[in-house]
Amino acid sequence: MITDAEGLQGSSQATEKGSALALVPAGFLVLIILAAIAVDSAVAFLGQRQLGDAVAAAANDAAAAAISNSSFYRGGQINIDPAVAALVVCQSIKAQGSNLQHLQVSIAVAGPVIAVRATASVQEVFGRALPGLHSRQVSAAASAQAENGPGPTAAAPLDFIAAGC
Amino acid sequence: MSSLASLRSGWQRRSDDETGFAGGADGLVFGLLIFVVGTLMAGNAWAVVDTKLAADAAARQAVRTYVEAPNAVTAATDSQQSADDALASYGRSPAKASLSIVSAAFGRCERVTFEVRYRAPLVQLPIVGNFGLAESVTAQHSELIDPYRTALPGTATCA
Repeated sequence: MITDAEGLQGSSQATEKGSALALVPAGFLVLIILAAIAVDSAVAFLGQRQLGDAVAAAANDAAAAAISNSSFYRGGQINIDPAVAALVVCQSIKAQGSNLQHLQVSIAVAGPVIAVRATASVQEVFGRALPGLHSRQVSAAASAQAENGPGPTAAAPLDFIAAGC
Repeated sequence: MSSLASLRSGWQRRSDDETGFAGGADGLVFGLLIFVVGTLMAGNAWAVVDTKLAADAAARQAVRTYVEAPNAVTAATDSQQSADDALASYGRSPAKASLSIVSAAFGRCERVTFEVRYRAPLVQLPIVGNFGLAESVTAQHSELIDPYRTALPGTATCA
């Protein structure tokens, strides 16, 4: 036997079945947000790769092009001139044509070894729609050694100075 | 109220009440729209980013090969081959890419700059594949030719 109270209870339970479908757009929205986060992370990774390539090329250029002539011709020593190295590094990084922003470059020279370190910010694709998530900071470092002969010497401690790019 | 009347009343309420269905239908329509449009947007953005990664690698490899080559003729052919290999390793067709030389005089201290241009697919989705053609993606890389290399023209004064 079905009473009125049971009939009403059955009716209210049936209407809740439809309301569960309202969660569908919310669920899809969560999926899309996750995809956006993945794309923005890939953009940051791309920026980090570009910065890494740029500093590696700059260190390589400086190790070859900034060798101190006076040091070599006076004592036969292969040393990198810090002033020339800073110039070469800045020229090299500008020539990469990357769209990295707020680029800050510092170099450290110790004898024949040069290290280049840089930080920059990468504009996000979807994150720029949200306040406080316009860009992401990336950094990279690379070192190179000018050598003549059997192989690299023991690494010396490096003190970084701003390259002034 | 008799039990039969109560049963009929409850049955009628269930079949006539469309409140839940209306909300659910909206959810389905908007959910589908959000899903399709959002997937296409994310797929397009990913296609551009992935193509840029491939183009970056191709430009870098082309320049590295050029500056290390023994002579100008070998440098030109080998750098093109290196760019093609890099693109192929990323699953891209080298035939759709163009490698242009921004500056590439073959001598000491010469700056070599290559640019790779590739037309990104409109949408790139995992498993499904690539569809359509979107905007061109360009990548550039630049390096100096070693000033102290043998058998090259030019002076060893770079800066």
